[in-house]
Amino acid sequence: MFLQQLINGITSGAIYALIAVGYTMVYGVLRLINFAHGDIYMIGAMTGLYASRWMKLSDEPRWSSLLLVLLMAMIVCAILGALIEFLAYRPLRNQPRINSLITAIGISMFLEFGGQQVFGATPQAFPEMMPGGSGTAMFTFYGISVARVDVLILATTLLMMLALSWMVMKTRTGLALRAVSFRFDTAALMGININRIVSFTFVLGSILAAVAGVLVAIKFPKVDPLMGLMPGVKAFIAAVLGGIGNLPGAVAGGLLLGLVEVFVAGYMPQGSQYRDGAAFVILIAVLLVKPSGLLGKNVIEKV
Amino acid sequence: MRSTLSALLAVFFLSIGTAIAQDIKIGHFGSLTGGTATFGISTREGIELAADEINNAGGVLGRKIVIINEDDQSKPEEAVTAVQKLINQDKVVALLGEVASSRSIAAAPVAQRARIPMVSPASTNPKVTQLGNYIFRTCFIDPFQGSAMANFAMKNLKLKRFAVLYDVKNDYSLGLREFFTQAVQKAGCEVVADESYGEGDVDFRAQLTKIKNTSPEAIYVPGYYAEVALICRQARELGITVPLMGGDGWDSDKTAEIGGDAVNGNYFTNHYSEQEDRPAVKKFVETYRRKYAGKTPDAMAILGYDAMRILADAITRAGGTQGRLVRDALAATHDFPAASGTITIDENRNARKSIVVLKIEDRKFKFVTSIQP
Amino acid sequence: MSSRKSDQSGHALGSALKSAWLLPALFGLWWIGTRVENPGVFDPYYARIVMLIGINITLAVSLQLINGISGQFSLGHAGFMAVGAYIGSYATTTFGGIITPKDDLIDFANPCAMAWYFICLGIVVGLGIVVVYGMFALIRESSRLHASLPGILMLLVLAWVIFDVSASAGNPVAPAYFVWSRIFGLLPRTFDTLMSAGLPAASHCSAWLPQVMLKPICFLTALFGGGVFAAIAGLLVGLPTLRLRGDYLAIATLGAGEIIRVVITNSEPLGRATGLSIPVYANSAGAGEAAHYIFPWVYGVALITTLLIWRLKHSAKGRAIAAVREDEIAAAAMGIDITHHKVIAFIIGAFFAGVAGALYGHYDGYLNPNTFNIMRSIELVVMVTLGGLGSIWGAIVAAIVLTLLPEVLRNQPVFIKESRMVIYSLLLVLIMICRAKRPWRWVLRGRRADLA
Repeated sequence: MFLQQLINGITSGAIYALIAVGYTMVYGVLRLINFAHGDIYMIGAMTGLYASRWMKLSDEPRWSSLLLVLLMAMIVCAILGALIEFLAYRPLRNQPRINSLITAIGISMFLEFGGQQVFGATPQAFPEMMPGGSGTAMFTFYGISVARVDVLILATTLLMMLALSWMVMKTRTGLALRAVSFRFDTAALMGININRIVSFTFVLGSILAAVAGVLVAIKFPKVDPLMGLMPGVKAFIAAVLGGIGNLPGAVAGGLLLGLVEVFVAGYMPQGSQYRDGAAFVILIAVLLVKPSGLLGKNVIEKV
Repeated sequence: MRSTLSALLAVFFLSIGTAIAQDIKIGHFGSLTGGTATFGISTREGIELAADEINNAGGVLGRKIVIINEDDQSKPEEAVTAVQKLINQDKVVALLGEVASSRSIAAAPVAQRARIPMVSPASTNPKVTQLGNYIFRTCFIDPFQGSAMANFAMKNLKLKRFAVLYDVKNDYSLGLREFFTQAVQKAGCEVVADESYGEGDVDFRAQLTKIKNTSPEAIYVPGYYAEVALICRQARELGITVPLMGGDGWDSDKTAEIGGDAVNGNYFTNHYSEQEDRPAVKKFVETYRRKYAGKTPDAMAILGYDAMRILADAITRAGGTQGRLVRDALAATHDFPAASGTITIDENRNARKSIVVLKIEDRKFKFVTSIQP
Repeated sequence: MSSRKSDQSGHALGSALKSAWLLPALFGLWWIGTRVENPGVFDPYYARIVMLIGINITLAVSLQLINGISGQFSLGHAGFMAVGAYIGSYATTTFGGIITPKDDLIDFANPCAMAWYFICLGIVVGLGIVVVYGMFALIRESSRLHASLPGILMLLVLAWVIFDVSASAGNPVAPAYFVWSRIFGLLPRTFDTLMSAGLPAASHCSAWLPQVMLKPICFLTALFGGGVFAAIAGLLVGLPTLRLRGDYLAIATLGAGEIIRVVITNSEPLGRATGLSIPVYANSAGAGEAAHYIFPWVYGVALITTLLIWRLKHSAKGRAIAAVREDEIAAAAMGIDITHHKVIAFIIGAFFAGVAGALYGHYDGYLNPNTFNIMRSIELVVMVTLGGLGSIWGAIVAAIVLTLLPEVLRNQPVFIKESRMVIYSLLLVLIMICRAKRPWRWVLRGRRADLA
């Protein structure tokens, strides 16, 4: 049972990590809690659903069709992300950040309620997209099997983390990102096109959300307009746990959160009732001991 | 700024009435948006279907029925506001709603004080109708449904060890769990695991692994199909082969669509079976599909449909729309041939009707047995 | 960390004059309230909206103290509201003079017993805090030996408790379970002993009070008790978390609010997800519309909250709080105790949230944990921000506008009504953007504050 719970924890943590990477990416550059991230994730899953229905891709699952669906979700979410940034966040760029936070909340509500109008509130079944079945075992040891989709999610998360870290640290765009995240006006003086970089960040974050949306919809084949609500909050917690703005931290935070939840639900008496609370307790406990998160840097305040 | 506010106030006080004075106005308050929107919308569809049928057949007392829908965003406090608006602004003669017992409990005192009859299509908590003599329901209550499943499992399936996996944020689930557990323990059988999840969760494997470890002979999952379908999937993925059991919250074609083959071999209790030969069921399913683009009705749709028809029947028998008359007529409802079964309103203003047990085979709901109250 | 000067701090008189016409406005509403004692004169639907506005004003103004005036970013206000609502209402269901929904008056009201109940609960909660705080103090002291010892110790204790408690589900002799049940089992027993010891005397005291005063005193006690326990919750949440900054504080308070909700969801006496029904108060005529009795109370509380927080803002203490907001290091250099002032603002804000919660519970007669979810906290933050951070007047206007908006949209033709929440969210974004354009400063009188 312990081994099974460990696997449960890692697989559910991998999902938090997958969403948290996108969260932390946007936050790292803009210092904006993008409340709408969970809803862009929902739009990603919805696009995946409608794309596969429209092109009748689910009749015979193929890797190529999965990639096609992913690509379409990414494109739709990228456009959506750019639009949201241009219409809702850019006018407030020079305002206090809390104002952008309120518009983020407004956008999030708009996508949720609008989603209920457009897609209907009823949960819909997401078709099987993985050839050979997503739930079938990839490998089995000690009587415990690990599903193929879990391996896919974990691998994607790690891959995304590595690729993004490389992008931020080694490329010219990454350098610009870091400069913008440090200080807007100084970065502008250095000849960086702030608008372009901020748009780029949002597009990137939305693409990450789209990938997460499609992959999670494959694992839990139920999509509805409110599906982004809880994962959004949990992923945000995961990002804060790991030190928000820090890519490996988001992955570590997600995995830790998944493990804690599963162990509280699995081992404490009546623990499953307190599963949601456990996430917050561990968050507060970690913040008390290390206020900047597990892997976050302690910023020393300058006078 | 002040002009903006006064403009807003002006708009606010100009409520727009769409109904003609001669029409019978009936208010429906439900969760048309928010977390449980899918149930509120289904109920609305059922109610509107019934109202259309009644109006096409000449209406009630020679007058047309007009349904006024109000949204409560799946929040109890909004349900109270919606009901206040329906009673005081729209002057409805009767209320239909809510699906969730918590929101019915919040709104019922308002209806009771205003002496407006309220018929809840799907609130199963016993407390709802105890709030006053103007509050009715047309579904069965938790004690009946919970113990019916327990007795079926113990007598017909000869099972002795049960696990329960319930939704801690949902009063419906809480009620069924309580009465199922009571019935099981009264018969000397055992509940070996009592685990919970929260509405909107997608990952249930921690709880299921724990349940698997206690090796029950069946798992009772009194939840809604949105979560239940995923629970079935994950239970089978974890190698749990014992049957899962549930209540009328399972009734939706989405259960099998989302759950796939994992839902096969499970049982749940319901109001009716599509396979029943009763013409009322056939007619309902057919007209519903025709009106809503081939959509298969779920439990909420049929309950809304029945609630509307029982209310219309009561108004007809009352011969008027005064609250007192309608209330008395509702209380006297006897052997009404509803689509979800023959309904009699008992002295506690609850519906007395039979329950059916269905088994899911090959993604279809197969009739197993029928239990009388 | 902007060091822009707050525009009020220098002009106390001007600001006081500007805010002074708040008083007639609120008195006007209160006056209307006292006029509607007679049901049938005032449509209960409008009465309800006006009541909700009053409660939201109290909530928004109290959150303005935390978020705007003291510059902390709290996302857990609904949690404090829940504490006040549940504790105040639970006391009323046990000791209040009540009317059942069936209109038959159950004629007893026991204010002294209610007060005694709060005192006992306070003692027990205090004991619990001492125990928990003692443990934390022990852990924190260990940092003198080695910097990372506290963290390691905490994780060890956590692991010990989790694993031992889980292993001992049916086995009461496991050490952690034993300690746990001895310490925390002691608290309910202390409570029962204290309660039963003082109850007869308290009931005796109540009998001496004049009959007409029983209900108002009971009600006041319930409100005050709800507020006090919300303030205690605020202290418990505030002391550790207020060390955090900006977004970290936001997420920690959000977490605290959710933990409160999870605890309520799992508490049998509070009704779990089925909710808690509270018998409602009636007006003097005995007719059962709660609004008419509670109306003056709601606006009285809103008035007192506004006055107190307005006075606080312009007092020496308020200036110290504002100084901490503007620049913590500079404030500390001026000899201001930073933690003290942050916690004070947090506790006062939580207190009034609790009172508003208790009012809400008594007014609606029904409480459900879902009412106090994250969305409720966010709604309040939106009110505070929309009205302009730091501006009490702005918070009041925003509370009125945002409570009215969904109802205004409800009364529109069907195609608007159907998508009213979509329009609501769009309007929210539009208002925020328009507000950013200077010439459109319509509600804005607050400072421009940074979140961090």
